[in-house]
Amino acid sequence: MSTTRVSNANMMNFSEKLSRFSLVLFIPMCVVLFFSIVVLFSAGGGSWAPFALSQLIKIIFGMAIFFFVSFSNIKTWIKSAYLIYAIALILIILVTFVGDVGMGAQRWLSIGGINIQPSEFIKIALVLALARYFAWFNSIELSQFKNYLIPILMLLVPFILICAQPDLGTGVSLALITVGMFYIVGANKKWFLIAGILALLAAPVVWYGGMHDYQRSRIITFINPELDAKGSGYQINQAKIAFGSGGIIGKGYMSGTQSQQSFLPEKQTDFIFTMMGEEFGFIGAFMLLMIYTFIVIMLFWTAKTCRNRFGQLMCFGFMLNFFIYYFINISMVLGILPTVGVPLPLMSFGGSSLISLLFGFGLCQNAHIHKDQQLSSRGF
Amino acid sequence: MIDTEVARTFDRRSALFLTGGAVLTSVLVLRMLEMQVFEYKSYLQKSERNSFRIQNIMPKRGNILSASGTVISRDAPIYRIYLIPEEAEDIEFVMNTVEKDLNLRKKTIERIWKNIKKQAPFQPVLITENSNWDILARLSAKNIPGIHIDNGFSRVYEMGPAGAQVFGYVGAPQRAIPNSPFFTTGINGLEKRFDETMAGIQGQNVMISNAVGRITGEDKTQYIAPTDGKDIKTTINENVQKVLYDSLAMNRAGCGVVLDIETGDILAMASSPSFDANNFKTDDGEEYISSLLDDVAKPFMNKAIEGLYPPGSTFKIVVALAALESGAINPNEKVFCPGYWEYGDHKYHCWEKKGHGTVDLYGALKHSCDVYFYQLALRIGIDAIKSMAIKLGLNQKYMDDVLAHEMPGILPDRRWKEKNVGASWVHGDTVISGIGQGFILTNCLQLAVMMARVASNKEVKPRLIYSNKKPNFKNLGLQEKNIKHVLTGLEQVTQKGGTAFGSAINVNGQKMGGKTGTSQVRNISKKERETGVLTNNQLKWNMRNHGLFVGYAPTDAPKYAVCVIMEHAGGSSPAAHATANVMKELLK
Repeated sequence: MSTTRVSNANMMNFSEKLSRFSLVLFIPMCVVLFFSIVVLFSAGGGSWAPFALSQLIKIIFGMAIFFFVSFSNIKTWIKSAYLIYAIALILIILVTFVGDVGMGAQRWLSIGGINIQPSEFIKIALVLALARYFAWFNSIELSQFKNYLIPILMLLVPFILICAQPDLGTGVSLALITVGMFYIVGANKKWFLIAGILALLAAPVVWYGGMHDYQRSRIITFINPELDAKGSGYQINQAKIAFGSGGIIGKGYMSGTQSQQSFLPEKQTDFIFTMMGEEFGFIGAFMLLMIYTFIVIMLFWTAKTCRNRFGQLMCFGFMLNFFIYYFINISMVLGILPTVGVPLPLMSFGGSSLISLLFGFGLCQNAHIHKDQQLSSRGF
Repeated sequence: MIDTEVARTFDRRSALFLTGGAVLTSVLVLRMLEMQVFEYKSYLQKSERNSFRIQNIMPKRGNILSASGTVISRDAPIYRIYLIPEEAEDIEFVMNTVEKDLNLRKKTIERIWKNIKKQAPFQPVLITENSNWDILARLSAKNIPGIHIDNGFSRVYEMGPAGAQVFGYVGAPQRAIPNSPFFTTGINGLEKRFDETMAGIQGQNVMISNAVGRITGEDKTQYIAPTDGKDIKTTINENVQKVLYDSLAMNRAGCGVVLDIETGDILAMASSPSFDANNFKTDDGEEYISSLLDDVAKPFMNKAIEGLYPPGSTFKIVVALAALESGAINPNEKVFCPGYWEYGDHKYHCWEKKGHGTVDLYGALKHSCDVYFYQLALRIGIDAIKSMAIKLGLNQKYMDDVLAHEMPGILPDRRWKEKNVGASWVHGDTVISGIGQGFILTNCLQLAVMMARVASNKEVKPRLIYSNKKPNFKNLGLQEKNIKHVLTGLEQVTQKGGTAFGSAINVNGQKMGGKTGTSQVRNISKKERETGVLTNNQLKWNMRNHGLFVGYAPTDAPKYAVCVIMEHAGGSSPAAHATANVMKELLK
């Protein structure tokens, strides 16, 4: 395609945009969403209620957002990046002071009968804001520490609030996303070493001073789940039994004895991968993991081929977010990491995570569609 | 276009992410392989064990019975409604339905919510016990997810507070038994010590569930019927127990023991203030328990064996017998009491400031003359006193097999003082030991045993668990004439002019003898004594003297021995009154 045409991409019309729409990014996403409905139908005991139908409605709503974002003008998102971050941050502040605590740790806000979890939105908002911030720095500016002070602040404010909620899983995810983005934009490698040492020194202080009893107990339980087979170890033990007993081909759809008989708590949310593994076995679980991997590779490819820095960083950040999301969740249900309460992206029951992710996928599609568009520095 | 340097950084550094991603993904795949392929069999086994739902069946707990076979504590069959929060789809909705159907009190609702928030979601929360069957049937027909209806047992304590510390109570075990909601275990008293006997063996009901998790039936082949627990029959006489407790309850705090002298049976043992374990399970149970825990008079303490008190003048029985047995005195020998006795550089006071004039042994027991016993103690020495005290059953434990926390008390001598006080024994120590003060500490049961032994000249040993075998107590080997001298003195205590004349009884000619005692909780300073400013009534409750009484009846053929201690009662008459009440009940 000729550069002259696309450099004037403001003029791109809808059919042009449609022709640039990435199906390799879109289709695997839809496959996962389809799996989600299939598994939630089973989690409801072979019924559309209470999970599958409700999630389907959320998916339809999320898809509308996805398409809207995909085909919108990329400049809209550059302009509103900080505003979106600010809104997400306000929601986090609100939820910290007036939110309700659920069974786990994530807090939610009740707005007009809809429960929203701002900690899901902030993950996308932070990526967007960081991409916007770093997009027009040159390599010299990127090697100067002072230029990282604002992004550090952008991480720390929500990080502290979320860890205090206390939602350790999201907190750690935010930190990893930010560190990953610092690294890819070209931050000095020495800084990471120093930050690592500081974190190690802070660890005992956090353990004794900053953690809630139940968080400590979860970590202890993670190290030795047999200690407390009926307390906080119950969940993870039952999850492992469910997953392991699925074997290679699984117990069959809607025949997972563990999941179906409520031995498995939270099977529709954080532990949905376990249910997948129990009913569809290694084949099903592996397939899902491979689709996730494919999505990550496609997101990386989108970032790499993006010829404007904003789109590139946004896709890369979202890729990090997406990978961390499912890696933490799967590791947790397989007993590799402690139970921290992170949902499985696109699979778990719940609206906030789904909508944020579809918004994020929309941004990546948007970046892909506008990948050849040159964006002028600062003044757009 | 992207700055070339920046673009190069992106390409170079993304390699790390790709490698990292590949490694982490491989970790997940390997872990999945490990669990689903290599360890598949062990997980499958565990999961199969899970697909049955085992519900343990609580056995009927044994009763605690009195000697006559009357029930003291029993398991009553009840219906129980409970909620498993995890199974409820909408707890608010479930609670609203249940509240309306069962007409629950606000207090109950608050308690349930508190429990829901406190417990793990798979642990059952009790909604109510013992609703009527119509309501249950209606609720059961609604089939609300999360709501379970179950029949089981609930402990009923027929004696209420009378002897609650002895019989004990049941409660939730510290480590919950899986699949056994509302199982109980003995928490203290006999309920705890005989838990194994009374608990019985739990049964098991195995439920099978279908693919969608609903229970479809029971696996009859795996059913195990529960085995009921065995009853524990005590030596307690429920009527005497009630009279004893009611008499104790007239005072702020105290304890008492009633012994059958022939068998050693503990006919009653009570402690006050007490508690009613029937209230523990009510909606106000938590507040009730915390108010009990806050009470400085320690309602949970079985003071009859756990409480240690200076025996005071009741100890004069020991000193008198020791002196008679040693041949050091003639009971008719007279001593002059001017109200004090000066020995060395110290002035020892008699409780009667005016003095008792000339007293012999009988008079000294009757009037409880301190001066007489100061001199007696010094004449025979602490070792003779101690060996008589041991012979009469003090400083020993009797309930080790039956009740916990029994305290043996202290009988001091030279060695004891050097070791525990770090000072050498002085004559003054012997002198005040003569009136049961100083370092001596005894418990109520020991004093009752002492009374029983003196009254029978036998080595009476108390027992709380019933047996129809009559024990054959060894003879104590004291000279009958010496016993007679002491008992003659004790008979006069309840006669005109005696220290317990006010509590004299006469049931068909049967009378009670005994000995009063007051034991000091604090030292009276010289100044207070001179100015007479403080009488016991003017002191704060917990600074007042303890009042004691040991008694036996009937005087002509002793059958019962009683000890009552009224904490901080000021004087001994409330204790003597209580003893008289108990004796009247026993002799009627």
